[in-house]
Parts: sequence; C-alpha cells; structure tokens
Amino acid sequence: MEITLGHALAFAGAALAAIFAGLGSARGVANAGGAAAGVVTEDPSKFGQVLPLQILPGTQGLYGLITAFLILQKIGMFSSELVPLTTHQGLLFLAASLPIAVIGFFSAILQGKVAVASIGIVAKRPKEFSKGIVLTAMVETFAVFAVLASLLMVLFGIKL
Amino acid sequence: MISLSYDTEYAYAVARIQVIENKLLNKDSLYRMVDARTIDEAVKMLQESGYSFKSSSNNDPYEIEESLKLEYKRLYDLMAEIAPEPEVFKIFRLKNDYHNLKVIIKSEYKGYAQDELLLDTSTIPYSELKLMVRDRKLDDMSEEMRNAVLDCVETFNKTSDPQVIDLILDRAAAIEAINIARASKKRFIIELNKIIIDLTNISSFLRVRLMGKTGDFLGNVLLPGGKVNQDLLLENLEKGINGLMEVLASTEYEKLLISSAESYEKGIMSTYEKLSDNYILDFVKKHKYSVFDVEPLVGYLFAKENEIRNVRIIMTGKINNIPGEIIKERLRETYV
Repeated sequence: MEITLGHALAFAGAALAAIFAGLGSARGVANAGGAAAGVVTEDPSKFGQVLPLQILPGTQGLYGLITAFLILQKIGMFSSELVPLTTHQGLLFLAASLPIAVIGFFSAILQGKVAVASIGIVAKRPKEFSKGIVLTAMVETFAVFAVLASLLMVLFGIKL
Repeated sequence: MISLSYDTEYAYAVARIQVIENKLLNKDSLYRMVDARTIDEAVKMLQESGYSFKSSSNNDPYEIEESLKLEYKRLYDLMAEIAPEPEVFKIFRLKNDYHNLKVIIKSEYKGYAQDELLLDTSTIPYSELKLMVRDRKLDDMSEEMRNAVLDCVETFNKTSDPQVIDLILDRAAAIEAINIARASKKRFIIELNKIIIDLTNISSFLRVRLMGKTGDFLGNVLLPGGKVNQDLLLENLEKGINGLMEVLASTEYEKLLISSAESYEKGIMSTYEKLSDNYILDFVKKHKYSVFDVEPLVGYLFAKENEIRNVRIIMTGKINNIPGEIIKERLRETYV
C-alpha cells in the first residue's frame, strides 16, 4: 500500500501529542522532584508524602501517549496494513492531537509549580499534606478536558 | 534548557529551607529562654534547637560570642551550599569584608592586632585579606575595595583620624553592594538593598542629631543609593525627628519613625534600631512565598541572623542579670 501525505500528517499528530505532553510533564515532574529532594534531604521520613505530589504533573505525558496510541491504532499501524488516508483525513488527525499537545504541555508545567508550592505544605505542615494533593490535582482537570477533546475527535470525529 | 534546571535548583533549595525554617525559634521559645532560671538551662534549650553551644561555657561572654560566630559561619556555609546563585549572597557577606578591612587597617595604625574582632563570614577569608593589606597587594580585590583601601591609607596619613577609615569603607561597601544588586537584576535584592541603605541613613541622621554635630558631618556619613533623597535629610537635620517625620510622611518609613519618636526624644536610639531590624525582617517575610527564586533563601538568612541577634540579647542579658521584662522588651520580632 502506498504511503500518502495523509499518513505523514497523522503520524505528525501522534508525535506532537506524545512530544509536547511529555515535555511538559518532564519539566513539571523535574521541578516537583527538585522540591521533593529538598524536603527529603532534611527529613527523609517525608518521602512518602512528597512522592504523590511529584508524580501528579506526570499524567499529561501519559495522556499524550494514549492519544498517540489511539491515532496510530486507528490508521491501522498495529494491523497488517495501514488504512488508506487522504490528506484531509491526515489533517484531521493532526488537528485532533492539538488539545492534548498544547494544553498538556502548559498544564503539566503549571501543575509542577503548584506541586512545588504544595511540597512546601509538606515541609511546613505535614499533617495538611492531603490539601496540597487536592490543590495540585485541580490543575489536572484541564489536562483531562484536553485529552477528552483529543480522544473524542480521534475516535468519533474522523470517519475512515 | 538552562532555565529548566534553574527552576528545579530553586525548587530544591527553597523546599530544603522550608524544612530548616521549622527549627527557627519562635517568640515562645525565646521567652522561655529569657525565663530560664539559670544560664545553663538557657544553653540547654539552645542546644536542643541545634545550636552548638558547649555546656561547660556558661558565664563567659567571650565563649558565647565564639559560639554565635560559629552559628553565623554555619548559616553562610549552608547558603553557599544550597543557593543556586551563590553570587547573589555576596551582597550580604560583603559587609563583613569591609568590617574586617576596618579592623585590619586600624590595627595597622594602632600597632597591635585585634583578631578577635575579625569575622569569618566574609567573601575573602580574613587571613588572606590581612596579607593583602600588609603587602599592599590589592590586585585580587574588587576595584571599589582596592580604591577604598588606598584612599584610607592616603587620607589617614594626612589626617591621622581613624574615623575617616570608617567613612571611606562604609561608602565603598554601599557602592559595591549597589553594583552587586544591580548585576543580580533581581528586583527583590535591589529593593532590599535600598531599604537597608535608607534605614542606615535615617539612623545616621538621628545619631548625628543626638551628638549635636553639623550637616557637613552628616553629609560625609550619608550613603548613596537609597530611596530617600540625601538632600532632604541634610536640609532637615536642624528640625530633628519631627522634621524627618514631616518629610517622610506618607512614605513607607513613616510608621517606623512615629513609633521610635517617643524614646528617641529621650535620647534612646535602641528603639529605632529594634524597629528598623523588624522593618527589614517584615519586608523579607512578605516575599517568602515565591518558590522559584531567591526570596525565601534571603528570608531565611535574615531570619537566622535575626535569631542569633536575639540569642545574643538574651545571653548577654542573663549574664549581666538584667530583668527578664527588659530583655523581652529588647527582643526583635521573629520570622516564624
């Protein structure tokens, strides 16, 4: 089967979702990890409390990966043959990847900042750490909306 | 990519400081120390909160001073270890270099050493500084510092007045601090430095007025780079603190002056000094919640210095049998 520009665009969409959501998450988790290490340096017993806060900004990367996976599955990468795609269909996949690529990138970085501030709660008032989790998880809402938008488009919006 | 690790490094340093901050003594602990029956008991409280006091050394003011010096050293070492941009902290160590220079140059003229006055929290270790001054090998100093030392030597040889050494070095220290603040490009540091200069200048104004000296003298003492115009201070010297309050009405320093006016009129400077220390601590406290910048680190530095100052007030007070109420009166605000 011939590989068309449509396939290239769909691959680009999958790549964008994985790249930008992953990049944002890496940055968010790195910042939160720095703060977590700071707390653990002084008080190793707080490891269990800072760990969930460090992980939270990592979910966007996972959402990006899921989106990429579903795009690739839909165009038949995992079956014996790729589904034939027009350029327009390819562009639709590319467009569908944008919500999680863009929102995932920024929300992961911002969530990382809230995670860092919430690790400050663990440092100062360890008993209130669950409140820090709630505050950090709030940012997650928008990443979830974005991945929902992307997945709706991929699964139901594009008829092949 | 650089900004990436920059944030992470600050997140680490700030989180670490937030844990360390928990060990700062709050007002209750300080009051308990004041109320301790014996000096030994107070020393024990300090040891429990991480101070490296030796318990054998209870009544010797010199040994207490040595222990406190060690605390300063540990504080600055901690900052050097964890601060992502240690060069910013140079601005706070620099005053100790200039203090050491004063001691070294003056002891050269007095003919005897006063090494116990030297501080080891400077940017240049004092042993090196001593050699530099002795051999007049000033190449490793900053330009500002080198010129100031040369100026001191020249002027002192002409006037034989040790006070010129203080004046020249204070001014050079202020100018160098302004340069470092500007180079840091951090608004917080620039603002903090301006506040310190302003409060020093207001203090000079009040002191000069108390001593009954002239505006010319004040003009030599005033430091450049503050927010309060020097001319305003010079013009109002005759009017004293009331004139100053008028000029600085509706500025941030108004409240501070009003609160210190009553005791100043009786010739007491210590209220102003205490309140201006509180003012600076208050300023850094307001900025301690940023997590990717230097503010919380500087906040801790000032908080700990402030705590050491409080501990000194308590310990010297107790050694000299000063009543608890008076010691409490003299204590500075706390950070936590």
